[in-house]
Amino acid sequence: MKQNDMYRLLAGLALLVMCIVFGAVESAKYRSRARTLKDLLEDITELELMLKYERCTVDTIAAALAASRQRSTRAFWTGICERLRAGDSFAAAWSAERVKLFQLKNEDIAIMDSFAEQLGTSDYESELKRITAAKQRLAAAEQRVSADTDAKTRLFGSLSVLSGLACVLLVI
Amino acid sequence: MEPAALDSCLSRAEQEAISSLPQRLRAAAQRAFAENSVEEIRLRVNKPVQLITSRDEIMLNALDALSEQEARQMLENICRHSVYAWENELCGGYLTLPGGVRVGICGKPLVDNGRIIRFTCVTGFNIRIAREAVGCSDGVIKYLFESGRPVSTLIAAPPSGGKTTLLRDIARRMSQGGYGERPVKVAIADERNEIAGCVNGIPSLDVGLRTDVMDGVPKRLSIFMMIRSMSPDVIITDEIGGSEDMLAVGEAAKCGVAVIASIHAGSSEELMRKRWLAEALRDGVFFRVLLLHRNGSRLTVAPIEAKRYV
Repeated sequence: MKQNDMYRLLAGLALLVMCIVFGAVESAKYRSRARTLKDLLEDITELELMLKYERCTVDTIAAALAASRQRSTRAFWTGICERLRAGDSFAAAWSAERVKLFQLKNEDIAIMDSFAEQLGTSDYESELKRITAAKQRLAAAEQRVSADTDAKTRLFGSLSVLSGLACVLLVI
Repeated sequence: MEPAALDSCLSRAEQEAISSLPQRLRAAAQRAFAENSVEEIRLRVNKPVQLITSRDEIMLNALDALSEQEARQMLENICRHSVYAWENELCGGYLTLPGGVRVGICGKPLVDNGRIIRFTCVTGFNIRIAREAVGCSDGVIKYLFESGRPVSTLIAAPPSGGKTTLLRDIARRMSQGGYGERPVKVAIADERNEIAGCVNGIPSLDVGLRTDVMDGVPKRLSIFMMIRSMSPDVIITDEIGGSEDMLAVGEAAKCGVAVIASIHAGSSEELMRKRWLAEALRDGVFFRVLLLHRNGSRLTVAPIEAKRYV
């Protein structure tokens, strides 16, 4: 085998690995979005219960959510907690901290915006209505994303391998 | 003096009151608090800020008036960015900050079936700073006992007459003893959370060692609950204001528990104009009435035996 052929083969293999890694990263992102949506949905359910039955203030709710160890949203709620302690409103804390939910798409963020931007500014009934509406929309989005997760991850995996092989063939 | 240095000279109640103000007003308020004994801060939309001291008033004319936006933000700030959590208190026209600072509000409420269900906008605030005047009950304590037992006493004074400050010191003194009488178990029915200034149910003001506090509950409920559950010797409550409150006080008296309560009235005549109270006085619910008069920071007391009203 000539040296040039060897280089081509190596370059082809490198491209194949890159494609597979790219596919794995994309799959992980999609799974991560599904998990974040699921955790946020649990957070909002807890938030709704604390507001409904205990009328907890937003700082108490954020502290309780930040203390939940098994959720991916813990760092986000810890950040919210710190900002509330510094005297920020929930809306200000939310808009500063939502970047930590980077796995979410704009459509998911828009759902959260619909209640987070006004949380704590109005009466109990209006708050509850907004939270319930956001929860329903988030549940629908989470269901949609969860249902697609397996198919999408398989698709990303297969496409990455196929495109990697195609690259190898083209290079060789 | 720097704002941080001024802050350290202020009591917790004063610091709470100042931190509830919009940011641009805080430095001026801090200076005023350091130089005067400020009792109230009054803010109204489109009007300059007014500070009421024990002797005079100070108008902060040099500062811009409170804007509608600032009033909205101030309400959110006072409610710790959780307006929904204070809805009941807001519908009652006030809420209490840690340290016993009472914030009265007014504006445009939404009324349904004769009941305020929420405020659509708040345009005025009256921030009253709770003061701990340790020892202010020294001259009063002898009127609260007969033959070594506490007796039901009504303390009457006009608004801002020092009733709550006096009640707080009475609670502390009766609970701690050391004035020739044995210490007694005191229960405070603190509907407006002004006497003990509770934060999460824990008093932030000194109300004594043997004192239990039920805060934020209507008097008629908390008095009954505490008689049943806490077996107090004395119940202390602020601002009785109608026949329902008086019914609870009467029930306590029937159970052998002395009640020390305050009421808005400037004279005996004003007391007797309240029909529900006149009946209670005639029925002997209270053993004694103390009429308070305030001259600057000095309180004088005129004791009247309740038998006089029969």
